[in-house]
Amino acid sequence: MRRYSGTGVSRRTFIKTAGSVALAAGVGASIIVPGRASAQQKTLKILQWNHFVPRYDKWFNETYVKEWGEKNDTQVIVDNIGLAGLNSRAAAEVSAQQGHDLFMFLWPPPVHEDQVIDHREIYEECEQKYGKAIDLAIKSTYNLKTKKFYGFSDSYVPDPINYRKDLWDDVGMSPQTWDDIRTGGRKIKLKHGIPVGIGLASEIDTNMALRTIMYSFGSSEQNAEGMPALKSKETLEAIRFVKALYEETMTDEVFTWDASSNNRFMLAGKGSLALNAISITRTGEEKKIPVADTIWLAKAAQGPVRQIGLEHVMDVYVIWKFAENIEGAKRFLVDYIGNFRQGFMASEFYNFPCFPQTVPDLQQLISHDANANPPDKYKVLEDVLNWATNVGYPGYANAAIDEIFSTWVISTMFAQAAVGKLTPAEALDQADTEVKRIFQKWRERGKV
Amino acid sequence: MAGVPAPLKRWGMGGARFGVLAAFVAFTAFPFYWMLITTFKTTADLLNPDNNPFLFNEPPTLEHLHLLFSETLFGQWLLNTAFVGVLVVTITLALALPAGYSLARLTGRLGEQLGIAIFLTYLVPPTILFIPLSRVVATLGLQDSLWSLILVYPSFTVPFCTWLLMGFFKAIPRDLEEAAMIDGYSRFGAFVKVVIPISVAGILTVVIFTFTLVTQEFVYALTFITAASNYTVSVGVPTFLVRGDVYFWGSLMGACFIASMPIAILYNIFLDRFIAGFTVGAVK
Amino acid sequence: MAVLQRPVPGAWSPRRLSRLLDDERWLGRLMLAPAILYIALLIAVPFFLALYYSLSDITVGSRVMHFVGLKHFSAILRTPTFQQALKNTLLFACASQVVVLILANVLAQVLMQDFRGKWLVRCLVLLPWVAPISLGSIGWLWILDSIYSVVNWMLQAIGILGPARRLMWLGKPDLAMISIITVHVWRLLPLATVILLAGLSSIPQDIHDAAAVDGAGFWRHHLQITLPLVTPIMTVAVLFGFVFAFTDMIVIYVLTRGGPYNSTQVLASLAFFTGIDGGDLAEGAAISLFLFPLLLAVVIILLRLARRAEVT
Repeated sequence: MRRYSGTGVSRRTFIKTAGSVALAAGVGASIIVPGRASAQQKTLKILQWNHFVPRYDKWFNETYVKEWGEKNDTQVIVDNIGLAGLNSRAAAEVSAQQGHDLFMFLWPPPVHEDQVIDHREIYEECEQKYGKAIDLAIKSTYNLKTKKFYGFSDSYVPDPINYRKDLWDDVGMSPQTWDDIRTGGRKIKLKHGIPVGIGLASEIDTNMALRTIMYSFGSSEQNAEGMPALKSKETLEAIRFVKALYEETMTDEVFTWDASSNNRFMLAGKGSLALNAISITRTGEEKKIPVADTIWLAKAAQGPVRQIGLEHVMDVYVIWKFAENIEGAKRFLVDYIGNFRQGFMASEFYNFPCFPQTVPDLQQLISHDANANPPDKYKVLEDVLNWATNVGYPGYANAAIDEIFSTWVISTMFAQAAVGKLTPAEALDQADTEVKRIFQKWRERGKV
Repeated sequence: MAGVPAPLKRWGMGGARFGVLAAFVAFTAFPFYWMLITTFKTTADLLNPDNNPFLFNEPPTLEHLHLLFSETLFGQWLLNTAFVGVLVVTITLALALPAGYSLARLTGRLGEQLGIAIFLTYLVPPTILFIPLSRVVATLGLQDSLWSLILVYPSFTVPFCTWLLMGFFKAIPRDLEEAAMIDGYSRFGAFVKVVIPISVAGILTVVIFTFTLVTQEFVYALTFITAASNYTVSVGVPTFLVRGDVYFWGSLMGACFIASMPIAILYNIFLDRFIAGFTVGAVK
Repeated sequence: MAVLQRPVPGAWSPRRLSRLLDDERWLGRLMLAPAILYIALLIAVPFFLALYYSLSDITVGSRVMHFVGLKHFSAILRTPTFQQALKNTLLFACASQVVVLILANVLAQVLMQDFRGKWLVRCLVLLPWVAPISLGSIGWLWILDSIYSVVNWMLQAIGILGPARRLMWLGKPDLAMISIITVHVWRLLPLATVILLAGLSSIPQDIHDAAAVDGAGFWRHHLQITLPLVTPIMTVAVLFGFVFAFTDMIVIYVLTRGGPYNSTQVLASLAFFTGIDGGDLAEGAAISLFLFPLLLAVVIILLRLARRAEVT
């Protein structure tokens, strides 16, 4: 007689699966309906990043927006997302024509110009109430060609030099010019075996650091009118300098880096200098890492042409044209600027104001920080606006500059020359071809 | 021991086998051992470059796990992931079981071409496809709901599972179904009564892989879902435990370990019971 | 013992035969239809839309697009970055799958036997696939880190690396490529192994016994009996392993973002940086579409191989 085995088993599986599905459906039901605002009350939906300082998110999400919501009879919902997902989420919202009312980018988003309102009136109202916005904010959110403000910037994050004071004192130098960094870095590496750390990898810190060097050498991706201008004698000099800097003061670890690597580099005591936001020192203070006391901050280094640095990130809020509560979003931004001082404090000085008059005692605050050792460690940031500029200097941020940034054209150029894969001239040529091609593409679309 | 040729049972193979196994296990498992240790290591211990990464150089701590469960919605994310996983597995099985059988037995060239056609949906990666799909999801009103994932995930699990099941079904000798049909079953009846029970190991494999494809998926989960309480583990953990340029290593590794171990264990439990239970060779 | 009560049909009369065949054809379509319909309804429009993107000038911020023909394709073919990405995509996928194929076969054979601790071993071997890619890759980021690399530490402990020497796993082009391939192998080995295991389990024991009775040696047994029987399943395992390695973006994104200086850039990651981060969606779609001819070629080759080795 034939027996077909296994039927009993499959029945058991089926029941098990059905049971768990039923259970999950019960759980799921509470997940399905997001439970957002009733028809009566207004809603304001905000999307922003997970701030590196968790305290800021706690303040913003749990205190500030709730107070604002009560005053304005609005339910405010804040969603947080990681840095890496911002562009994807924005693309999805645009495609769906549905999403948040306020969307915060950490860099200028010129490519979304057609999808957002003109933010001019927000700037105007804020300038009326709180004084002039800084140049950096305007150049990061204004399209010269179409005369539209495609975003609103409330804050930026400075990108100072982080260096080991003990090591630099030991060789009797301080990193004031890029030549100092080269000479002093070499001395420290020879004496202590501790290298300099300017990234040469495909990541954001590298992008910023290399542009800092470029701009201070008088070179740039575009000129003030928005025409590609990479190929120049100044750029060649900058490439040669970085090559020398790499060979004399660094190790090949800089090719492996991601955004968090230079933090680990400095905090492990394995680096003499890096360019980074204040996350290194703040992490050191919070985790009580001993070497953090010897890490000091310095202004951007002087290059042959000028002393200039970049912002590390630029907070830019946009209001989509398809947002449901545009008026509420505008009101929120204006009010937020009025309360910016609280944000400045909650972010532990990470977010610097684009409307300086909203934090009138900024200098005092950063000169006497209880957590810092020494307490005036952050004082060097007081005149940061004199030495911080936007990506795209000397011109404005635009879609072409953005794509060059995102596809690592500049980082690859410097890296290939530094490691010797290409000569500086060849690397420059290759990058220049790419830059011109990208500009051409966006020009044809009428964006540049 | 099903399927083992007699020669391998020779005693001499024992030593070689042990060596091979040790190498494999070391390769696949050492990252997880490291993850397990790191979950309980203090940050200072981890960040000291001179320390042994595989041992505790300072007393272990529960702070990372505490952070994971209290400061993030990890528990909720686990539930969400399980919820989506179970439903997607169900839908996938419902679609792929008949399709796989059809491709294996019933449809000739046309079927093969159709099979290739559904396979080609893999060639536009989710990193681009998510944009038009967002439009679809929004039109259906599923924006920010787990149902959007439940709807979309079968689109990449079904082709894979169909092909997998096709492969399993093809390996079963046709005589078994023919015997059943001679007994009076229809083709479909033979499928249900004979083929499915015998392929239980294969079906279980399909279940486990569908589930893992679901837990792995990142791009759609990131772009369709906004509210933190609706995240799945794959998206929620990196989002909240990688802040700017600061990684919360201990919690990250703990999350990875907790998300992986139960599935691996469950799979092993079921696999043993099912393989031990079936008897092939009813054609005697 | 159950005796079936259904009417036993007579001999294969022509009418019954034709009815059966008709049934089967319809049955086949009916069983295949739900899957096809589901995918067609859900994916077809977005899929062709994505194809159209590559022929237009769409950006992430626009909803209006104009047809521009093959401009993007001709433009990217000339850029060194794209050429490198194309090479890498093929290299990583092929290399990892060849390694996986060999290793999976060995491992599956070993796991077919009984031994103490088999349960635990199977569990551990399955883990790499089960871990979410995003988290597993972050783990590897540390394991291959320039300062803290666990691999370097182990090599130093065994004495292969000198005390001061650190290998830059993600910083030198060849080491970076090896690292990426290794992570792919690590992740995809369980996939192939488990599928193979299930396939091996379904081979009836009588076939093995019959071969043993015939006096077949180990290799002949394996090559002429076992291998052909598992080829259909193995084909699927390799095919999909190839697809997953081929279209992967997360591993590259987390570990190298295409670096050092584009040496590990692949089509999927380049498409993301250009299309989503850089905003030029049309070019991103064009880049990712280059996966198509390659994938199609691989599918056809593998299917041919499988069909030739099929056993009825």
